[in-house]
Amino acid sequence: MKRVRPAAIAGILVLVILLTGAGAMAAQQARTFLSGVKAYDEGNYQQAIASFLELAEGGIQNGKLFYNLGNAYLKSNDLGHAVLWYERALRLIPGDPDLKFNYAYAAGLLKDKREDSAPGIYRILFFWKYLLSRGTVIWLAVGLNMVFWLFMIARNIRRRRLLRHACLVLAPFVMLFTLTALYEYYAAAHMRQAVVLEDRVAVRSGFSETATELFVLHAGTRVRVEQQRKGFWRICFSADKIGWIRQDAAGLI
Amino acid sequence: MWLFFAVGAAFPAAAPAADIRAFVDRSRIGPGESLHLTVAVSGGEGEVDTSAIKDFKILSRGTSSSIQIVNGRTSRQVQTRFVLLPLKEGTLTIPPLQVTVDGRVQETREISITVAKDTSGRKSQRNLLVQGGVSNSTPYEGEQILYRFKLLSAVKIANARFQEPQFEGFAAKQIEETKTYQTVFEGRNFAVTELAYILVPLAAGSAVIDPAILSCDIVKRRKPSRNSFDSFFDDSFFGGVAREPVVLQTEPIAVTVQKLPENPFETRFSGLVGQFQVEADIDNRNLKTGDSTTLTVSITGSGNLMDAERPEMEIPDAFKVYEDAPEAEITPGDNGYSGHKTFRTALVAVTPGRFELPPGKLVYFDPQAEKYRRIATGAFGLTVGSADEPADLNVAMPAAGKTEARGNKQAVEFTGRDILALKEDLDALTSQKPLPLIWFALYLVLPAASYLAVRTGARLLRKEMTARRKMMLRAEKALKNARKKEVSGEAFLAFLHRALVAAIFAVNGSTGESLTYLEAEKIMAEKGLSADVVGRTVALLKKIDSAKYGGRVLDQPLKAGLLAETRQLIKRSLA
Repeated sequence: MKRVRPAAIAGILVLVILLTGAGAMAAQQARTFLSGVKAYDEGNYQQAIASFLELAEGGIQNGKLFYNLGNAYLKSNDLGHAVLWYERALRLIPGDPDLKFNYAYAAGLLKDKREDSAPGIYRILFFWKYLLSRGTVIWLAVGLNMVFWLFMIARNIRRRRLLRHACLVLAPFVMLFTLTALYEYYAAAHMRQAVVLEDRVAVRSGFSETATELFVLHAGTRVRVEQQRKGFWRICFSADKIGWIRQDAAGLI
Repeated sequence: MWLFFAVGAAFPAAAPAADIRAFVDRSRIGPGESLHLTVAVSGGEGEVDTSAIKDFKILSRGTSSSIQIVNGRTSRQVQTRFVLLPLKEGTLTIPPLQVTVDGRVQETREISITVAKDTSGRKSQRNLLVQGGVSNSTPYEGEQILYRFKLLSAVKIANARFQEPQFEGFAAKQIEETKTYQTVFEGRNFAVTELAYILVPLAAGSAVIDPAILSCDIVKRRKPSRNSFDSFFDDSFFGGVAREPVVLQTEPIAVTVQKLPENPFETRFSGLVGQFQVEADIDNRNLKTGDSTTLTVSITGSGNLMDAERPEMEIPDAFKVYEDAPEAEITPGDNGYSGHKTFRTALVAVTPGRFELPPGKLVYFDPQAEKYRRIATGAFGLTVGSADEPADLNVAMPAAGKTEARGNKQAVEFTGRDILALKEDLDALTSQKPLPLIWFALYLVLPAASYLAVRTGARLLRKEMTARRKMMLRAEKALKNARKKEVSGEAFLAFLHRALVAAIFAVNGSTGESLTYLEAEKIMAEKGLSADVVGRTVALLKKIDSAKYGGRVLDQPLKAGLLAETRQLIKRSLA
């Protein structure tokens, strides 16, 4: 009879343990999620927030989960956190109709009127960036890139006019989506945005609580984060409204 | 033109890495006037901490940089400019400000500013005034009041920027129309620009409307024009004017919001505050069971009309009631919000008989009379007869507002506001983390690299194929020429030799013109041709050369034999 090696047995055991562990973890996550949904349906929004937050802080990045968090915060009258999670969800599922509806509802409750009109123009010029999520743009860039080079290889082997035309048609799209994807990576690393979480946040001239109050922002307002210093962020609301706020008064998108 | 004069300068005790200076444009100003504080950093870029400034409100800040070349040395200067507004009168101070340059903290010197009413020389301030005021400083909860901001100007201004008050404790709406007119103030003629806001107090108590702030540039002529030619160029386009920036603010306004008194009526208070009328109409008073009629109730007036709810009406049980979304046409104007709000209700007769719709009642608060008023619609009598065939109410129920009868379509409006439900699918637990940058780069590079590899390989292959093909073509051409009848004996042998050599080069995948017997033997052996073929090929080459150089006379049978042998070797063994 053939003897089974101990190393092989150990390997199989590790695999079984890993698979069992992963299954148990998935089941636990499902239970937590469903308990959050149940708490929300029963009107226990704080419990729902706790359940959904546990999943999000556990590393799950999912637009639907973030949307649910936005709903739960909005129902518990926490506009700042609601907008923050809706914004995070928008980066993952920007085309989701439910999300757009609820985000518009939350945006209607904001007190601060946006002063920069440029994003509207950007939305028209770079519409695909706002229609597609970051992940979709990246995978489209990868997919189009692969198809383009496959066509190039085919053209190299068989010099058909059709293949040449296909390459010419594909090339601008490959360029467009590759550049957009690279911009998305750059923006994720360097262009930070935040949402004001507290009902009323004083934006000050310096990074201390005693610095002069320059203007006031309210919960849910989106700002650009420019610098970080001594527990404060230097934020930019519009071209002429810049100042410092406490880090805990806003959440990074 | 700006005349800056340095009031203070500061240098660090240790050998300074950068030169820090703080200065203001004026050391004496009037209340409500602004001054410019500039912190200049030479030889570095500094972060100015203005948290120590307590006597002034910082309205704005801006940064500029310049490069100077003096005696061949280049230096960079960064200026951070602040617009400061004094918070009180008297001798105020701008304390030493900490400036962090390249991790080192340095301080500017203290600057004293006198804020007094009797400032002289600010002629521009008397030519430009701002005023703010409300129509009623003691309104009731929900009573709309008007806030007006006026800019009185006797000079030409440009680049005006208006910062409206926060209106904390009020729901505020700006009246879109901006008024401009002339007025006489203190004996002088001023051009007035007026902005108005409708304010509705949200709760009883005291509230303060913050100052409104206006910043602008006063446009001045740089110098008096001497003649018509000068005046032509005395225009901002040609740089003939100067601009003096000023900041003005209104006084804060205290508003005491009164609590509404107790409602003396049994009818529930509608929440409306203002002046209102209510009327009702019904489009059909004689019905059969299953028929519908539309009851229309309109509230007209001025006040918080948008908050109006459907007036209370007791509809008999003999009717099924379907309420339509209210329609409102409310416009902000000089008298606040005014317009009308219409409520339509479809009544579907269920039971035959004679019925009376009692009047609809509405209680609102009249702030002018300072008391509640109750108004009511008229009553309606309805007669419902039996239908031959009872209608299916659930199917035949028409929309309110006579839309079906008239064939007009009606815009769908929200009747309630809420967010959409949760997403309950478990795919919400699937992580959507984006592809890491390194993998993205790999996915981009790999297909391109594959293409390059394929292309290089194909090019090498093509090169080899080309040499072999070229030589074979040459061999075939030589054979073809040798077959021609008019070819002389010497040329015939030269063609045969050429065909054979080209075929051997084709076997090797290279090109060439001539070969020795040894080279030919070596090439064919290396390419794996049989010894028989190699021997026959070399022997044929020798035979051709021998005939060529030995001067042998070629008769037709010999030519045919040599041609056949060469052709057979090339086609069957070497090709």
